[in-house]
Amino acid sequence: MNVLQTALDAIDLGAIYALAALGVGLVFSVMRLINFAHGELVAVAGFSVYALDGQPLWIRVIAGLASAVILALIMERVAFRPLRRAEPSTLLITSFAVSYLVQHLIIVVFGSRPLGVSFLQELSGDVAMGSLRLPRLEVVTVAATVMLLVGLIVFFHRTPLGIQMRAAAEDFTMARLVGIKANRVIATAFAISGCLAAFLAFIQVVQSGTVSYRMGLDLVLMAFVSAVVGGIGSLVGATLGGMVVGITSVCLQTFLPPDTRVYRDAYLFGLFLVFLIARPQGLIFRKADRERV
Amino acid sequence: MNTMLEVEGLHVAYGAVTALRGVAISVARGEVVAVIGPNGAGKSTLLRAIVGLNKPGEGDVRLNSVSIVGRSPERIVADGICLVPEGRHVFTSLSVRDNVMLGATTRSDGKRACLRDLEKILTLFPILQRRYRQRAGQLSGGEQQMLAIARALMAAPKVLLLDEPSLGLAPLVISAVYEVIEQLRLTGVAVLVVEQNIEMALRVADRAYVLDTGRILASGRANELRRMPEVASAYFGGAS
Repeated sequence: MNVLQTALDAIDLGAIYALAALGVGLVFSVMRLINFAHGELVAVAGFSVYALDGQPLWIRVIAGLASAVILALIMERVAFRPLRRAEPSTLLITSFAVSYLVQHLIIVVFGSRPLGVSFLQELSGDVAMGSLRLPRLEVVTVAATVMLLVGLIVFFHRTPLGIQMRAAAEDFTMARLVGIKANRVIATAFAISGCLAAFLAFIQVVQSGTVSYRMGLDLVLMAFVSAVVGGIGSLVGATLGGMVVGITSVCLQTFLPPDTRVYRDAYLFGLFLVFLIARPQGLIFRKADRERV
Repeated sequence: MNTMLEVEGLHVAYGAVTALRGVAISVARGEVVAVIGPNGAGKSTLLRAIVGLNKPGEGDVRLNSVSIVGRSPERIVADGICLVPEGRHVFTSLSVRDNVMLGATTRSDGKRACLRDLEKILTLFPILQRRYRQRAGQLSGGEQQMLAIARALMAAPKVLLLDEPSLGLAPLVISAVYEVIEQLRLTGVAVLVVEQNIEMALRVADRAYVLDTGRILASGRANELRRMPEVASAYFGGAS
């Protein structure tokens, strides 16, 4: 295993976690909701791709995106909007309920066993770069993630709606006091989180060749950890946190003594536990600026 | 008189605690009105109720004789009432430019009118012009206060509500802030300013109300109020 391969693995996993953390962090930033049902958005996009096996690629991609976005908007409208003034803990428990509900709907329709699916098989195998051979999927994942992040940066910094969303993420009440429409900002956050979830589903389906109702669960947990490490509520923090968690995970996998590697996640969470004790506010602390007088 | 904002018999409670008990005030076009009183008198609650953040139990809030009770905060901004909250609440991670332009979120009179107003507002606050591209979090407290007012003015409000605009600012900066409030009077905006800094508030205001434990204790022209014992007691209450 050479250094470059490890670096690519690390960036690849970091990019995936960054997208997951951004999806979770975006909704949290405008609503103080940690949406554990985010994993089911991933699953629903995955099953859309599965159900349309044999259809042209573009139809499956659009169906995956559309199903996750629509489900995200339905969740917001039906489950979370009526509770917008509720305690964060109420919202959290609601998100668990939504998560279980969608999981079991999937089980009713598709069963609980993982199902094999062929999707974008062109991306399996290696790509040769000089003397190097790199997994094509990782190269494409990193490139696509970078493009997605650039797209989001442009959206958040250059478009009126994006700037409104950043304002709402920082100070939701003040955002309403300048006339930013709460419903629109929150619905947009859910829609974008749906898009990001669909993208994660595509990566997972290509990587594993299967779909299962549990396919998003681990990812949401890592997304949550990443968002907290990055400084929950901050969009830059979520992205950065995802990168840090992914890179740390791959580094542990590579550099731990082989017989302790099975405990990788224990080391990973242990490290972040220590980090959060030292810096409970996470990497990016949004209120730091406001303390100035 | 051309009354712009009218509050009548306003009751607001937080659970079992009553914050306002039948408060009535009015502000006319081009008038600067102050609400003074000690900490916990209900001043901020009054402003929050006007902009729709607190739901009143009883009473009415009217803008141009139309009741706005029950409307959402974003709708009330669009209707023409803007609050500059205590502690300024500028968006620190956004640029000064983005902050100012967000003030115009609810406007529908086109980009050209917005840019014309922007130019006017920036001449009121030259410091913001110099720092236009910087992040708002890098501004000093006084500059953030200017930015918060500029942002509210970009909405072209009919009524401007200011909550403790002098809080935590150096005396020189306070004078600068109040100079701007003076100038706003000329533009026809109705200004309602809530202050613990009674000295400053009474110097600028045409009229004032003294609020204590949720009730209006006294009201009148600023120079009359200065001589009333209720004002002195409220003042010392606030200072202790």
